[in-house]
Amino acid sequence: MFKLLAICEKELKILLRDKPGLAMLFLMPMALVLVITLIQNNILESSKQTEIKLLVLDLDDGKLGKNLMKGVEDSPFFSVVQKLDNKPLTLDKIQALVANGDYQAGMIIANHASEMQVEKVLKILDGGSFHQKEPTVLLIFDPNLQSSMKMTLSSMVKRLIQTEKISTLFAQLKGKMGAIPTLGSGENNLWASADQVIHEHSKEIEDSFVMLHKDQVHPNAVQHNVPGWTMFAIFFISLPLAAGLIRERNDGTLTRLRTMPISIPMLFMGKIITYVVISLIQLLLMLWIGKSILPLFGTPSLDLGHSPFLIILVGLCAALAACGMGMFFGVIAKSYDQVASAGPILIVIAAAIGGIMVPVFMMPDFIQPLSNISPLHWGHEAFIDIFLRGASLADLLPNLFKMISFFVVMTVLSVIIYRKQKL
Amino acid sequence: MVIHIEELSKHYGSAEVLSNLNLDIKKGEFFGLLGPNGSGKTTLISIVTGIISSSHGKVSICGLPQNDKKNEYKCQIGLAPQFSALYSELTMRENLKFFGSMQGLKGKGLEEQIHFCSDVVQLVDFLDKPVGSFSGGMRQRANIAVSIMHKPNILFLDEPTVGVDPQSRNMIFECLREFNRQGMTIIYTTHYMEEAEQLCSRIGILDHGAIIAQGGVRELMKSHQCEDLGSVFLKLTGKALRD
Repeated sequence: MFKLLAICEKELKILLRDKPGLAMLFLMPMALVLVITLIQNNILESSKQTEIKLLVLDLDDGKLGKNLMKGVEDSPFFSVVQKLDNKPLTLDKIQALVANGDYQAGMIIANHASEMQVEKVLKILDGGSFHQKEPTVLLIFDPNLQSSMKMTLSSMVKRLIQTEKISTLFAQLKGKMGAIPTLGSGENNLWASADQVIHEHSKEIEDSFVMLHKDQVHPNAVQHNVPGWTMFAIFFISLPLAAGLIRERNDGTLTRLRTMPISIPMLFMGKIITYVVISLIQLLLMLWIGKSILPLFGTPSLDLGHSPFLIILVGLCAALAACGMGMFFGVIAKSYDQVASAGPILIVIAAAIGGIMVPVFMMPDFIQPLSNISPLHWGHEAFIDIFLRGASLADLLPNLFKMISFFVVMTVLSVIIYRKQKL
Repeated sequence: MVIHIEELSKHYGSAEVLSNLNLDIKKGEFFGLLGPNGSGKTTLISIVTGIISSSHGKVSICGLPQNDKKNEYKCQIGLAPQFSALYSELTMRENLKFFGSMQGLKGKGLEEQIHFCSDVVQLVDFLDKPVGSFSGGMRQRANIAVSIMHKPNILFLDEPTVGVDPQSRNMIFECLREFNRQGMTIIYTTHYMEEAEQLCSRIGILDHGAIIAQGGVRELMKSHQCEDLGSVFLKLTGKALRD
């Protein structure tokens, strides 16, 4: 046991004295999680919560124009701007402002749009045809505007125009038909009720997230990014571990150790314990950033969910998998340069196909199955299960099993290869 | 015999590095293992010290077969590799403490050995300096100090004076003679023939994976009618380059 402790002590001292290595292990992932979360949080905020300033020119001044204005004003996504510097907007002004990217969208309601609407309905009811020369509403967009926002505004305007069309239709039908005897008494109220039905949209849609267990947290950039980049940081531990092994092989210390009464598995175990502890410190640091530092920049605070124990357990399994990978890199690489150049690329690729940078479902079909072979994906999925889906230990077991199996296979292979290596 | 090697062979693929090698070394001998580059010296030492395994043959040390009681076998051995195998980031004390711990030393015994070994190689004043800041001579002395931490019966030294200044070399020689006087068996490999002449009680010349001559320095010179060991060596191994 004291030999194991001596190995851990030695590893820790060497690691602590390697200042650039420490910076890579701790500062790089901290910087990544801070920058990427803040950027993504901003994107999510701009697409979900921040109102887009919508330049509006209502040339109609009728019922349709008023209802369209009311519709966009009531929307949580748009803030209506009708005047700039106390001067009313013009079509040219709106086009120039949107083209410059000063505003993202503009809406111009055509002159006499309400009258055109009535005329259209009447002509169609009379069995005639109506050829509209100009659009009822002209929407213009900044090319940089997210397509989701563009679709939101287009859909809303279409719905509002459709509603007005139906309302006009009912009004015209009422005018033409008068009372409807077959509907019995109170038919006048029926028309009013019909109009009310057309304009009533409350509680038609409710959106919510479905989770494995109740009372869980709401998705946001912090809940998504902190687990992802924590996994990335944990797997970066494999690089100094591998580099340490290569350095020991090159400077002859491993050769000396082989002449001593100490087994190879114990030598490896000492390294693994040290690096697992470092990984868990990394994990706690990243959680602290999510919990306390990111909110200082206006993001939501990281919600640790219902069981901190599960987070530590996933972190432990991920750290073991990373150490297994590090041992394997260390025994197969011929030089430090190989690890320093190929190692980070492999980890970035594993992170990319593992869904840390882009969710797996958004990847091309032929890449999606590859995510299942990335150890970072297993850990990331397990973290997401805890942070966003409120998973229990039983839910996590498949991914935990994969990570532990990966660690065992990598470590056993490393020991076998190391034993056969000519020092 | 403190070291008994019987029909030892080592193959790397089709290349035979050691070929049915037999060698016995007595307790307390200062044995010089000489040979040109690629003769198999490092492979022989690596097999005897347990770094690599042999393809065929038997090795025993102090009566302990290599493949039985591996830990007891390893406790008999100290190795000072050619390149000082130390952790540059750690201090001399930390290196001695770590390698001493790996040899099973702990507590007061470990502390005493740290002081004794650093004193023997005259590095007590540098115990708390990082080994990375040491000169070549200091590193080799530290290398030897680490290899004797557990008081081994047999000390293997692989070219310990390469890149070492005359003062440190002289100091190393004095240390080794003292260890040998106290009963330690020393196996010494070098390319410097005068060093072997000066230090060794017996010489073994290895070439093409086999011992081609062995005996005392004077005995070898006499039997091969040469005036110095260098001439004996060249006579037996030839003048062709081995690069």
